[in-house]
This record gives sequence, C-alpha cells and structure tokens, in this order.
Amino acid sequence: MRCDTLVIGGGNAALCAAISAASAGALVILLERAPAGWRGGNSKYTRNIRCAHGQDGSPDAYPESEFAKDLKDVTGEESDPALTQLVIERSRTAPLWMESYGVRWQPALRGTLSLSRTNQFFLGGGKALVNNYYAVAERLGVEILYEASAEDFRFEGTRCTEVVVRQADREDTIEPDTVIVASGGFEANIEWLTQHLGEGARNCAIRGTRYNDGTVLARLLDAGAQPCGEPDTFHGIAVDARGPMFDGGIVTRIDSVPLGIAVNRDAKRFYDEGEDLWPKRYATWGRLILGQPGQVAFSIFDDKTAGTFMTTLYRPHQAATMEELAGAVGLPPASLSHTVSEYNAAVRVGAFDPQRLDDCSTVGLTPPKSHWARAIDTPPYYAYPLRTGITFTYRGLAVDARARVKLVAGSTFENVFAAGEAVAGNILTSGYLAGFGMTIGTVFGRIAGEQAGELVRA
Amino acid sequence: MFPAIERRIDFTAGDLSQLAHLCHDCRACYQACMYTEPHEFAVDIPRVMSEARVESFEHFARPRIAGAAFRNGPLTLAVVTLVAIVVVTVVFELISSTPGLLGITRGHDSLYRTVSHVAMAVPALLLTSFGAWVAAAGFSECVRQAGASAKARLTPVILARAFVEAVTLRWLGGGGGGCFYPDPDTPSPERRIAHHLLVFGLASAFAATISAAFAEYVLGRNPPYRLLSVPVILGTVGGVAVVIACVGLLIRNRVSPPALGSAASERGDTALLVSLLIVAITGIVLLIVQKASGELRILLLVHLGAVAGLYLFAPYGKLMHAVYRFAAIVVDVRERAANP
Repeated sequence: MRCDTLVIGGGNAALCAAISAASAGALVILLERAPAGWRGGNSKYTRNIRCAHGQDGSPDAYPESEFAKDLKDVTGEESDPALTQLVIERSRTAPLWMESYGVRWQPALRGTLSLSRTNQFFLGGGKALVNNYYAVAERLGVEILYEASAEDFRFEGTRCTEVVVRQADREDTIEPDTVIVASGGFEANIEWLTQHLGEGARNCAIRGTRYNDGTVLARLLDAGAQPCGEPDTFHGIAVDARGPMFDGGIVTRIDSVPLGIAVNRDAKRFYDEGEDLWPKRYATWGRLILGQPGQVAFSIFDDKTAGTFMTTLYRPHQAATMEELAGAVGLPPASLSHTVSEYNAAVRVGAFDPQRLDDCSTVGLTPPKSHWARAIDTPPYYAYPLRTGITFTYRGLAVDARARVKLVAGSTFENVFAAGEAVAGNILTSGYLAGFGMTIGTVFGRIAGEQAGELVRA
Repeated sequence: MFPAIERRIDFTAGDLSQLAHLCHDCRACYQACMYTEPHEFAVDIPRVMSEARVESFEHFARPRIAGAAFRNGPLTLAVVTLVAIVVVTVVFELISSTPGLLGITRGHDSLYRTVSHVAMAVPALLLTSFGAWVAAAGFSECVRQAGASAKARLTPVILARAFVEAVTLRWLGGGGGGCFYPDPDTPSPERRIAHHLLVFGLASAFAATISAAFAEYVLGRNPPYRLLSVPVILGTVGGVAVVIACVGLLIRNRVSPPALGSAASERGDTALLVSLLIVAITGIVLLIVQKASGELRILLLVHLGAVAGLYLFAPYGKLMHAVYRFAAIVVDVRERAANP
C-alpha cells in the first residue's frame, strides 16, 4: 500500500494534519490504533482551546504578549522560545480555520478555571470536535483505518520509506511519501513511566486513553530522532482516587484543594494550598501528590466551602466530626484533628475572595497557606481522596518550525513530521496552561499537514 | 438543557422533571458524550431523560389514579378507543330515531340527521373541558415543583418568550449542531419538519372546527359543506398533514437505536401516533364517502368514537408533553431572566 501522507494517530493533532494535507491534495491514510468507539485519543476529553485574539487595548482581547506571560508564569523557562512564539502567534488563526471545517462554539462553561476571555469552548466538547473532524476527513477522502497501529519504521538515510502496520493479526507495509506522527505521549505505558517516575507511577491514574503507549515515540527515538522534554515531566493534576485507572477525563478533577487544606496519608500538610490562583497551580498538584507517601492525598474542607467549586463525579466523604471523617477515609484520627486545629489556630481573619489573591493567610505555620485560609470549623466536614492523574507526558520529539522531526545527529528527517502531545515537550517544561494542549495540536497539526502537502507536490 | 443544569448544584425531583422536559430529545449530547459506551460509565442522557419524562406524565397526572392506569400506552389506547366506540354506538342506537348502522343519509343537514348535533357537541365539550382541566393542573404543578428558582412571578413577557421558543422548537437544535435523530451520528432536520407538520395538521383541523362553528352559528349553514368550503379545505389539508407526519414519525421510530430512548416512551409515542392516524384516516374516508354517497352512519360513529378515545386518552399520554415542555420552557425563561 502506498500513500502521499501517512498520519499516525487519531486525535485532534492527527485530524488537523490529515485534513490540512488532504486539503492540499495529498492522498492520506490515517492510523487510529483504537477501535472506532474509542477513537480520538485524549482529545475527546478536552473542552477548549487557548488562542490569542482581539485588538491590543480592547478589554476583551487576549494579546500574544499576555498569552506568553501566562505561559511563562506556569511553566517557567520554555524549552524552545522560537517555537513557543510560533505557537502563540499561529494560535490567532486557529479558530477561523476550525470554523471553516465545521467546528462550532459554545459559551464558556461555569465552574471552569476563569477561562471565558482566554479560551474558546467547542460546542459539545472534545468528542464532538473529534467526531466533526472525522466526518470532514472522510469527506476529503482520507482513508481511516481503525485498530491499526504503526509497529515499525524503515529508513533509507534520513528518509522513511516504509511503515509496518498491524491490524488485528495482519501486518501490512505502507510506503508513504511523508509521515506525520501525532500519536500522543507515553503516559499509558506504566512500565516506561516507572523508569522515570519511580514505582509510585503505578499508583497514578491515567486521565485519558489507554492507547498512548509511546510505541512510535520509542521507535523514532531509537532511529535517531532528537528527544524534547525531560523524561520525568508531565501534565498531571489532582484527581479523585476513586476514579477509574484510565479514561476518567475531566469529571474526576478535584478543584476544592485551594479552598481547604491538603494532607497526606499521615494527615500532615505538605504544601501551600493557596500559593497562587488555582488556574496557575492546578497542574502542579499531580507532581506534588506523586511525591507523597503512597501517592495519595486528601482535600479537607468544611461546610462553608461545600458547593463553591466545580462538582465532580463522586460525592465527597462527609462526617459530623473530624474524627469521624478521618475514619471514613482511613486517616489517623488524632493526627488529622491535630493538623486541623494547628491550622485553624494559625489562620488570620481577612476578606475572603477566591477570585483574587486575598489576605486570608496563616501565620507561623509550615507550610503556610498564603491565601484563602479560613478556619475549618463548620460541620459537616468533607474529604476527597486524591491521586495523581497524568494527562500526558512531555518527553517527545524535537521539531523545527516546519514540524519536521529533528535528528540527534543534526538537521531533520527528510519526510517525518510530528504534532500534538508528541511535540508538547518542545514548549512545556513543567506545569501546564489550560487549553494549551489543543493549541499545540491544532497549530502543529496544520503546519505538519501543510508541509507534508508541499513536500508531496514537490 | 445543559445551561439549566449548570445553574444548579443539587437536584430535587422537581428539578429533574424540569430538566427532562426542557430536553427536546435532540440527542446531540449522546453524540458528543465521551462517557457513552464503550466507556465503563455507559452514560446515556437521552434515555435517562426519556424515562424521567414518562415518569413525570404519571406523577403530574390528575386524578393520580388515572395517570397510573394510562401508563401502559397502546393497550390502554386500544381498550379505551374500543370502549368509546361501543359506548357511543350503543347510546346513539338507543336514543336515535334514524334507522340502522349501515344507513346512508343524504342532502341538507345530513350530518346532524345521522348523529344529532347535541349528541356530538355535549360529549365533546365535556371531554375537552376535562382535558383542559387536567392540562392546566399538570402545568401549574410542574411549574410549582420546578425548584427554588420558582419564586419570581410569571409575567406576560416571560410567557410570550416561552411560547415562541416552544413553538419554533428552538431547543431541538442541539445548541447549534442540529438534532441527531434517528441516526445518532448524523444531524437531520427530519424530526423538526415532521413535528411542525403534525402540529400544523392538528391546528388546521382545529381551525376547520372553528370555521364550521362560525358557518353554523353566524352564517346559519349546517354541515355537510361543499368540497371547496373553508371548513372542508382546512380539515382535509389538516388530515393529510397529520397522516403524512404520523406515518413518517412511525417509520423513523423504527430506525432509531433503542438504546437512546426508553421502551415506555416509545410505547407512548406509538400509541399517540396510531390514534391520531385512526382519527385522520377515518375522517378522510368519511369525507370521501360523504361526497360520493352521503353520511355513512357506522363510519361516522367510528370516527366520533376514535375522537372520543383520543380526547379521553390525551390528558395522560404523550400529548401532554406539549404542556409539560411548555411549562419547563416557561420556568427556564424565568430563570434566565433572573440570572443573566
């Protein structure tokens, strides 16, 4: 089998790439490793995309400069400033491109992380977006193969000449003119995770698809591709420990953390819950919980806080006293009561305002709670058991501004491109900015598709 | 429905009923949901809402015992219609002076010589009033139970806005993506068109009755009316529209995957569509026979019996969705006015 462009992956980045390439006239085959009912990778669990928009000076605008600052605030140093700049700039044209292919928008959901100005929500969320793109891709003549995984690659120099594809028991060889890798990170590969994160990785939940096992990443890295991102970095958050090990999606995310206290399984606090606004800190808690004994933690709060954050799938544990609550979640009762009274004693009363960095803080407490500190004294008391939920890993393929995969030995592969989570590590080092994954996927997916199309025509 | 869900954190039974009726069964949410099968959560919102609606028909029905009795859909319809026809027939046989079921009456005032005006009007008035009372009781109970937000007053503006949203089927649009019925993967305007056609047909038939009443009481002319008269044209157009819409909906019901609906709801749908079909078809046949020969008594009694059955059944079956959905939209418009 031959084709002009082989797209490996079935999520947002892969679909944007396939659609771009097909629109440029290329004959495209897309390999979705999952069965049709599970298609779309992690993208089906997304809800919005962050894009620069508006005129500088307008109150509703989100200029590139502010976008860049927001990114820097949460991730610190970017790996590749030029690529970061590229993604932010190209994000401006993304919504129009998406609309031209049938994507519709909806008002920002309540209970999200204050995103209505900066992020745009696609109608029906990620699954609807993915469904729409699949329909568009089919209309453009893209051949979509389900339960099809790319197992091996053959090269002549820096040119990929063959890709071995397995579907059920059959193995086929495809001869592509160009290859676009958009098959995600390796977060579903628990063994690989333990190599970099330790055995504690086995106690983490994987928030998305179980099909991202990094096979293609590994093959290309073996073939000399230059990696990007540190191997132990990832986007991870605090999720409800009672959730499923895969495919929990958004509904298991716990947002009560900054409004109460967080303790580990010894009922000890371990980090400043109010360090900064939740949208800027929510992505740090994945790693924080990973570092705690047993990779578990608990968000403790009282009746004042109940109902002030986005509801989740499971109801919190509830009790009339702190001792009872400890019993309900398996914490040592005396220790929990001690931690709470120590915390309550350190709270200085202020003007509570969860929308900004208020003056409700603790004094003389280690670790402190810098903002939104209120005494936990109004029953009933609540607790969410927390686990690390890994969204995706940052270790991936280094690319240039044309989405071509770089080689360790210098320059790039002749005809191999990459997009999506597989290239996130080019920009994200630690931490995460809500909606940015879709930005990376859409921008690089389009670039890869366009570039592949040009190469095919040449 | 989803914006209404987002306005709440805890849900009472009244809230659930409110949301279920606000839902127009567009099924776009099933297409967009990442937690439907094969996901282990197996979320199926269209089905849950469908079951909630059926339950609320029973819950809001007055008197309550009638609501429970009518839950069984087609079987009840069949029994009720049959009983209605038999009762109507026997009563008229006993009290009438015209001869025989198979008699044909022609000429001036042939309709009322076949079945007297009083014998038609009085039961119709009784049944309509009873139905209207049940509908009004259901409507106000629905609005009352819709939750804490139901504190603000119902202004004419709210009612007018709600009426427009209800009549245009605004919320069948899936928030912009369209209605995914009967195929959960492909949006289609079918259902909206069929529904509008059905409502148009019923409205036209109702207008026919009104215009006939006008002709009778104001113009002093009794039925039967000429083929090209206003009542007959309105009635025929209405009847044909009803037949096309009902047949279309019945056929498409077969195609839609059962997982997204509920068995009870489907039974109720079928019952209503079949009963409407019977009324419309018997009416059209009656017209054809009337123009060809005259009023065929048994046919007229069957048609009247079918109408009586429909009216008896209407306050408890699928037809009530119009009342409850309108109530839900009214509550929702009021909520949106209070929470801009």
